[in-house]
Amino acid sequence: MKRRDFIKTVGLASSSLVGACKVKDANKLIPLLVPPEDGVILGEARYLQSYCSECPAHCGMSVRIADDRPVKLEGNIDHPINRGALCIRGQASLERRYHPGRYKSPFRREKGKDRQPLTWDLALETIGKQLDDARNKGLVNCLIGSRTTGAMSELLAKSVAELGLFAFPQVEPINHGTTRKAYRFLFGLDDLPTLHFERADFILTIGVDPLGTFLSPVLYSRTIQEAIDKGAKWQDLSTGFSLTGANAENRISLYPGGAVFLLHHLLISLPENKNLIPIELKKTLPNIDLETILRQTGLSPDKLAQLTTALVSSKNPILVVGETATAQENGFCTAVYAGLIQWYYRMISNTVDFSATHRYSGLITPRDLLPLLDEQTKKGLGVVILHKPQGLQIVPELGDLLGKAALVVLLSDLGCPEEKLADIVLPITHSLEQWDLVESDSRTKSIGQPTTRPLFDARSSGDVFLELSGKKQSYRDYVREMIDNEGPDTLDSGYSLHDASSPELHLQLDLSSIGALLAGLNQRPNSAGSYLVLAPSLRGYDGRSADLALLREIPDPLTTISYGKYISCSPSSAEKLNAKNGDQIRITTEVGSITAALFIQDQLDDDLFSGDFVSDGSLHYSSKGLNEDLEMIYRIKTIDLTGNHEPLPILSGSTDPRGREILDDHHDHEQSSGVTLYEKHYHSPYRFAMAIDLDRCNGCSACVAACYVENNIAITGPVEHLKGREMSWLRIEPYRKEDGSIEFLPMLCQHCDSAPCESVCPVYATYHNPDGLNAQVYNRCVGTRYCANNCPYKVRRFNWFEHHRRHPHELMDNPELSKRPRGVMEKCTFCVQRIRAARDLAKDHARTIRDGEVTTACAQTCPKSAITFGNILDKTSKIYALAHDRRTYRVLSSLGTEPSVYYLKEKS
Amino acid sequence: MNRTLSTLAIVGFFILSLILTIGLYFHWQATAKTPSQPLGFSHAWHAGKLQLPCTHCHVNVDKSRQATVPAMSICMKCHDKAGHDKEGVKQLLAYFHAGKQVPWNKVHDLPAHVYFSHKRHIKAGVSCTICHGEVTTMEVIRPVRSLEMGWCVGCHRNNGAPTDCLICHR
Repeated sequence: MKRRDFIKTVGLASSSLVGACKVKDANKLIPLLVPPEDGVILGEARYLQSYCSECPAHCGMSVRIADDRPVKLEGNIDHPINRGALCIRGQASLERRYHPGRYKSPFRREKGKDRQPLTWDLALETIGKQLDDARNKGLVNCLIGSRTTGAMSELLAKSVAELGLFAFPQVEPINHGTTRKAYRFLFGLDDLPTLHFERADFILTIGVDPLGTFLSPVLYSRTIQEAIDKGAKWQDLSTGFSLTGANAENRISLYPGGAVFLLHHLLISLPENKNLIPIELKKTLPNIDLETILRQTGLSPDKLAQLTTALVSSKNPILVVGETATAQENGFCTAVYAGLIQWYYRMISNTVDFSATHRYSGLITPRDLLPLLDEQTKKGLGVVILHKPQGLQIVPELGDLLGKAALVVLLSDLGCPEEKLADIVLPITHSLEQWDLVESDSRTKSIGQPTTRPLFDARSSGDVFLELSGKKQSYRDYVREMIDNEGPDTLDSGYSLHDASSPELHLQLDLSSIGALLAGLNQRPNSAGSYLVLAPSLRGYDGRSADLALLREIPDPLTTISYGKYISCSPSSAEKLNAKNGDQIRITTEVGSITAALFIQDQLDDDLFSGDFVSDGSLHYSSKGLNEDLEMIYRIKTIDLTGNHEPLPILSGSTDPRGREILDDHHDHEQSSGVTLYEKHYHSPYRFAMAIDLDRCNGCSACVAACYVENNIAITGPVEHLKGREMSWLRIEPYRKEDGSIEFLPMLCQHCDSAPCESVCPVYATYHNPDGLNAQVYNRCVGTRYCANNCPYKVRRFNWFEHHRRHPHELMDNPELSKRPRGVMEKCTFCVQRIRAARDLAKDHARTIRDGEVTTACAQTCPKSAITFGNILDKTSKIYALAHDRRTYRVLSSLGTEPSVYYLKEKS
Repeated sequence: MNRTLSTLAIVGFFILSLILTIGLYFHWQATAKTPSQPLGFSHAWHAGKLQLPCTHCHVNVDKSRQATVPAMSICMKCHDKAGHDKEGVKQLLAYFHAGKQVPWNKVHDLPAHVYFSHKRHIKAGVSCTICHGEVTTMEVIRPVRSLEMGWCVGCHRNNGAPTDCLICHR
């Protein structure tokens, strides 16, 4: 083609394109038919009480509803479990409601065919018919489900009886079965007590991570902090490194499986003069000499003596043993010893409280479901109903057995691996779309109420069971009746409390059996070799939240790795392997192997390889444990480099503060001239500031998740992360202190008074506003990125791309602030939309904002109340007091940026 | 000859394009500024002749950021009985009884990056007419103000209202 022809063609094509353009008739104003119910004002956000369904702790939530859809989850401030806070998983759980992978309508699955859509009537009719058929043929119809409590539990019990189902014990991958077995053995009780850390003066945690994953992390984060505030000492012993290990006052690393030997020593160290422990028991306990104990635990004699003295001399000690300490070959003995210590050290009914239990009784692991299902399969399986199954995919044989069933029905809200076992899939509603009444613990019932209509053609599982058993009642009416019985205030408060007296506990001690039991301890061989620890992690927990993109986008606070599967080890172990960060390794254990990228982590012991509990299901399953938990510790046979390299998105450049004023301030304020080239700002009547107490911050990253959800921050994905293009406005920076421990520092825009970013912006898109905020005006920004280059705190984020969310995920957007387009800079705004809302309310009443009336999303959700936000010009405010505290400093203060974020350094 | 023809064709093409573009511009200006509405509702009648206060129908204007277009049940409070002979009311009834909403066209529309609160302005004593004009005389609602930033800021300056960017942009 000639040049001229080309130009002609292009000209013609482009003008015809312009001609074809039509302005879309999108600007419609659609009125409602009927105005909304009383108290609902269109355009104004409102709150409804509900509960968090992301883990068994069931914290209370206040759901913020804007434009008729839930846009933010906040803790219910009065709820006895979480008192206004939520954890990282709770904050991220909103995404589950808007997940693109949600089931949209019922369908049938057949091998090699597409999903065949079904109507609800047809689906339920088919299932009903199959249930009858199977019953007539003498086959077993059964129910496999995950943990339920409260209304659903009651309804399931009734439905099981009416439909003649065989109900298997409920399945949870992490259910602390070994500890419950020990309590059954000692006290005849199959549940887990509430731990009153706040009553303790000495906290001893072995193997558990109460700050991250253990039972009720928000509750325990708070009560542990209460204890520390009262002066309690906290000693942690663990194999591997968790948030708890990073935050405990003292941490000693324990050899894998060594807990039982330590506990043995602690039990027999109980002084006889107090006559607390029967002589007969002492005689029945195995005779383990001190040398063995030291060799098995890896403790030095001094440390062991110190620990024993601390425990024996404390008045109200608390001992918590679990997770990596009990989910291993000596697990049951460990748990029995722990129970004995709790009994003889008088912790039970003081700090260890069985009057409020966590409602874990009867739960089993997917591994233990297998023999039970096998037994029923031999009788012939009819219809199998999988009700919100949890972790079944890690046992491949379960699939084989279920393949023999006449019909497998799956009830789930979100696409799950169990789908491939099912013949019919029924979509069920998210907990924010239905009524419910659940138990947060045996004393506390929490309500769930619909905050919006179901997104898809889904029904609550309660309705499905009611309909299958031929009831006319709806689950809504069923639950409403129960809620009404709980008392008139329950609907407003979101929870109801029940009195509970402590059960009379008796130690049912059969000395001969206990002796025999405890004698059979597995000792660690002298040439110990390497161990693999797969413990539940902050983001992963038991894998149930694996589909939430936000939990992969936010990095793990200990490693700052966001995406990818990795195994951590100590620098010297890596050196032995001659491996670098990201080199792929294959670890072969006695029960199977795991392949992952390697990450070098300073805090780990040599010869210990640590990964996420959910990283490889087949390992947990195939281990032939003596206890009731899925194994978390494995002996390693071989470690090989595969030769592959997987780049890991490690978001922190360095964990070394390199002498800079990050964790402390050694800047001499007396000597600074105070000369500044910046104009003096006029602030009135507000100057907003933030204080972050590093002594309280434990790096749990709940604030980061809250920030993401509140501010519509884009999820950029692994490819962008590898280029350092994550969009987080708030990040947790782990720093290694001189003594080797970790200090977490939440870093966000410091809203400097003399902000280096402001002076370089060529278009005045960033400036200091009268409220003391460093403002960023997106529609002014032209994207020069000078501000980010000039920011010493590196908190500004540039939109390299527009990251669209897949439907219906975009409905989760907070309508209170704009979505940033490609090519503009963004950063923390101190939640300006929340400030504006508070100002609006204050103006309505012709007053100024009161202290505590406005807070940022990060401060709101912090389980330890580490973050305080307020008006520093108000001298009676909390923030004013904290900003003038003795411990207060500002990061990189010698630069003269005069930040509005004050840090309170660790108490020494 | 050939050359003149092709020159003419090219020039003609460009002139045609120009005329089309200008024509489209005016067409869009005219239609976008005073959009036609699906049914004949007269503010001149309701707000002018009948002197219904604005809040009679726009119930949220002093309570919420949005003035909100009235729910159809508000229309039906009167038009349950009144004005059944009028063409517009007939259309309204048809929509209502079919359980459908009237697809009104937006007249005043702000860009997505502007956060404007009706409540704040009403509470500060700003009359509706400052931005919306003499609605009481309009048969069909049309915009009378540009609602552009310069216009907003001018008014804010004259009245001592804040001019901080974050008041409207966030």
